[in-house]
This record gives sequence, structure tokens and C-alpha cells, in this order.
Amino acid sequence: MSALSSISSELRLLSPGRRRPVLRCDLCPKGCVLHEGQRGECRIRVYLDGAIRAVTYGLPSAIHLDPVEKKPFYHFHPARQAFSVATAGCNLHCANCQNWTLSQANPESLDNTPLSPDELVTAAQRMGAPMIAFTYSEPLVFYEYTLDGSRAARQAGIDPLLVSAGYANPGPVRELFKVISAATIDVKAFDDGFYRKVCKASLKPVLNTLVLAKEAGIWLEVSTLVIPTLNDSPAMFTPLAKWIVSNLGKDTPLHLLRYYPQYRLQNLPPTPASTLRNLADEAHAAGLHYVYIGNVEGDPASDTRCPHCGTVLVRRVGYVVLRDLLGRDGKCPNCGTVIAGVWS
Amino acid sequence: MTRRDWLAGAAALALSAALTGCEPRRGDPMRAAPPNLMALLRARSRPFDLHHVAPGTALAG
Repeated sequence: MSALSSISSELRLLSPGRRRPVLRCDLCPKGCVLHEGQRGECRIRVYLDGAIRAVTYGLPSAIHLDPVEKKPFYHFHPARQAFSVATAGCNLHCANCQNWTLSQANPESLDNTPLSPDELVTAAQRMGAPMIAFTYSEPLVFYEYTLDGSRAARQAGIDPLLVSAGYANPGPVRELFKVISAATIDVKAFDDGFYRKVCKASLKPVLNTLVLAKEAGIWLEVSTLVIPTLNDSPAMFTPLAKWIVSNLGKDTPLHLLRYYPQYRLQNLPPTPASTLRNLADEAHAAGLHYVYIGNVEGDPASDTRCPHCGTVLVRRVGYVVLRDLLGRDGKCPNCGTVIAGVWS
Repeated sequence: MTRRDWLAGAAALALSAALTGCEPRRGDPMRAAPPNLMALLRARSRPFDLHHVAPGTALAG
């Protein structure tokens, strides 16, 4: 594949008499209807030279080396480094976006670094990173780069990781999940009204993506940014925990992330740690085994405990793993319970 | 935008929603890409330097 996308349909009824047909982008549920020269809501999929192209293909604007815990992944090869890349663009427009300078920017307004999928792999190898994470903005909108980069990584024995809001159509998602090793999907709230008002998207496609990840058998973790007054009530949160137990399984790790004022939501305070702890209790009560609190330095709720005997198996402070008692088999050394995940 | 374009866009929205159940957004002039977009992207390209890949970032995720 290349930057030229075939993930589109011609709207024939609207096309007679035009030099170029009207196209609809079929990558995500927004289905942007584009005339030649227009770009979709994601800003990077542009109708150019007869087709919708992901113009940032091979042109990441963010390249970093991060601990895998930062994505967050807590049950996938702890303490390893992920070579992390992103281009501009996102199909959501969250008022609280933490990476808005990247996700809500036009690609031509940012510096970029030409890096083909093969060069991506070579760079990760030279940095000693056993994983490549497509992250920061929305890897599903620079889909072709994510897909080709993941294929190249897998061929080289590197794990491709996806960090996404999961708002895309099932066809492309299924194709990508054939090559991805693990995904963290961010559920903004278990409420369609929240998605429409705060993120300019909808909930159902995200839930579909989560189910597809589970069906594909890739390692899956779920994160939720808890924003005071908007999605911090147990009434809104508890149904999410119950849905995860029913549809993804009680062993799916759930990360409750602390909100800090960002972008267009500067008027709200950071999430109180007590709110996060209350919601974590709700999630445990709903049946989830692994519930973590993120962005609260040193909180014991960022440790992995055995759900059977309570032994602290992985001790974390921030993104640093201080102790890891799990071997490759992922068994609790105290009681032998198998801890779900992919362990080193 | 001409009246014909506007009508075409509105029809496309209704058609997409009816046929696919998706949540279509229409293209509009505000989202028009600059005609020399690829040249602008090339102009902002910087060569990759491994030594400039700093561990960690303020970006989330």
C-alpha cells in the first residue's frame, strides 16, 4: 500500500458533468464527502489527483522513545522502550485534547521527518527498541502508514503497537488488527452525548473497535481520561466497567487517567485523586481484575497486584518499573495464578 | 461554493447516511487544502537524525 488510498467510494449520482467524481472517505464513520482539493475532518486525508490520499504518509511530526508504560500498556512487556511516532491529524476534536498541537494541526503547519515504513524499523532497531508505537495523535487517520509500518515491524520481529481512540470503520480496523501486536483504546466516556458534545464523534464505533480487537486476539488495554464534572460520575462510569467485563473480559486492564486542564477545557480543575480512587473501586466491584490510576505519581493503584492473593507483582512509580516479579509465564510467584498479559 | 455544489453536498450527506448508516460530514471551502499542499509538506521536511530522538516527551500517549 502507499499514500494513495482506496478506502473511498465514488458518489456517482453527484458526479456527472464534473471533471472528477465526488468521493466519500470510508475510513471512519464520519464519511467525509469530498470534492477535489478538499480535505476531510481529520485534516490529512485529502482528495488530490483523483484519489483520497493520506498526505502525511511517511512524514511523522513526532518521533520519540517512550517507556511502554506511558502509552499506557501495563501488561505488555513491562519496562521496555517503544519507538513512538505520529503524524498530524485526528478525526476527533476533543475539547480536552492533551496533544492538540499535533492532532488539531494542519500537516503543512508542522515540521515533519521523512521516514518510510522500512526506515522506521531501521531507526527503532538502532535505538534498541523492541516495539514501534503509533500513538500521540490518531494512528487510524494516517492509516496506511500505520498499516505498512506495522507490517514492516512485524517482519523484522518488532511488535507494532496501536494507541488510538478507536473511531473507525470495521473493515480497515479488521485489516490493521491482523498485524498489530497490542492496542490501547481510549474510551472517552460511556455516553454518546459526551462523545458528540466534547469530541464531535460517537460512542458505538469505538465499542465496535474494542470488540474487534478482542476477536482478533491482540493484547488489549482500555484507558479513560476522567474529567471533573463531565465524565466522573459513577452513574456514567460504572456501565463502562460492566460493559468491559461482559464484552472484553474481566482480565482487560483499565486505566483511569487524571485530567489536567488543556486546550479548550482550561476552566476545569485537575481530577482529584479521590475521584479516581472511587471510580477504581467501582470498576473492581464491577468485576475487573486490573484497574490502574494514571497521571498520579506514586499512587499504589499503578501497581499490578495478583487478583487472587493480592501480592504486588509489578511495582511502578510514574512510568518507571521498580520491581517485576512476573516471569515469562506470567504466574504469581506466591499463589501461581496466571496474570493476563504478554510478559517478558 | 456554488448553489449546485451546496445541493450536491447536502444530497451526498443524506445518501451516505441512508445507505451506510455512517455519520457523514460534508466537505466545505474551509477545509480546502492549499493547491500546493505537497510542496508545502516537502518544504517543512527535516532529515531524520537519530541523535535528536530524545527519550520521553511532553506529549501524552
